[in-house]
Amino acid sequence: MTAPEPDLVTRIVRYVEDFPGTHLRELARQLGVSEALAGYHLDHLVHGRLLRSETQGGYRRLYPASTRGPTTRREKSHLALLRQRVPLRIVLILLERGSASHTDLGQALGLSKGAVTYQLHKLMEADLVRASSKGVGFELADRAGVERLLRRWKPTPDPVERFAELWENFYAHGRKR
Amino acid sequence: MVHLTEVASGFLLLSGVVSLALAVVSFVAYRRSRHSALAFVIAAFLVFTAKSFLVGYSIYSGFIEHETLEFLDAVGDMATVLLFALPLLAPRGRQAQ
Repeated sequence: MTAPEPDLVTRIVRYVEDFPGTHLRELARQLGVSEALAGYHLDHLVHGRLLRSETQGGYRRLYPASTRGPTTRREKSHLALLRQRVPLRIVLILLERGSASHTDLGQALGLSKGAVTYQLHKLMEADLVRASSKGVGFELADRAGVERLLRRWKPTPDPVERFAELWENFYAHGRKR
Repeated sequence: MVHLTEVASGFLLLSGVVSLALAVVSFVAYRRSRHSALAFVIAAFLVFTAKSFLVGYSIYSGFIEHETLEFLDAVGDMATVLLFALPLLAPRGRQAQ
């Protein structure tokens, strides 16, 4: 194996440190390089213990080798879920409001009851959200933990999410007219 | 020498492939968000895919008669556009999931 280009290696390491839990395809897309080239450099970095990789849900997810990255399985699964736009929006609404009912979330997100139920189920299974202690609605299971997670790591923009957002914005704007 | 009908057929088949890929991406997005408008987007891309493959192959092979083919092409385009437009026309909160 020839030595990897230092500039691209630095960019890869910085990207994974900024967005831990990202996967190979997303990394390659964001850095504007081919998957093959990114994978080649990643092999060097993982072999050199500068990065870690784990297979989660069929994706090869990348994390910094240092403790700056998410270290617990819970943090990693939370981060993976928060890379999806709708779960992230629900979490942000609950962060802002403290708690919200099923109806409030549906109105805020422009989703049907079934869609909100589906997303809440995912978030409750991941232990991010729970039924509100006030008896009505939902709240974050670990508010401080979520704040810490979001302050340290920014969820990466996902192209499928961007595609979905494009259509949802199109219909939202179309209905306003 | 390449005939224009063969080129047209090729473009239509390619449109069908791209449309199918977009239908798959829409499906993945729908599974994540369960946003009802995306169900219509999936359906629109699938109809366009089917129409493109059918018309594209028929232009090349001639297995559907020309007038019928034009009719199917027009119906396919109309169905595609209507499916894209339906979420705009349906009242909020009453769309099928």
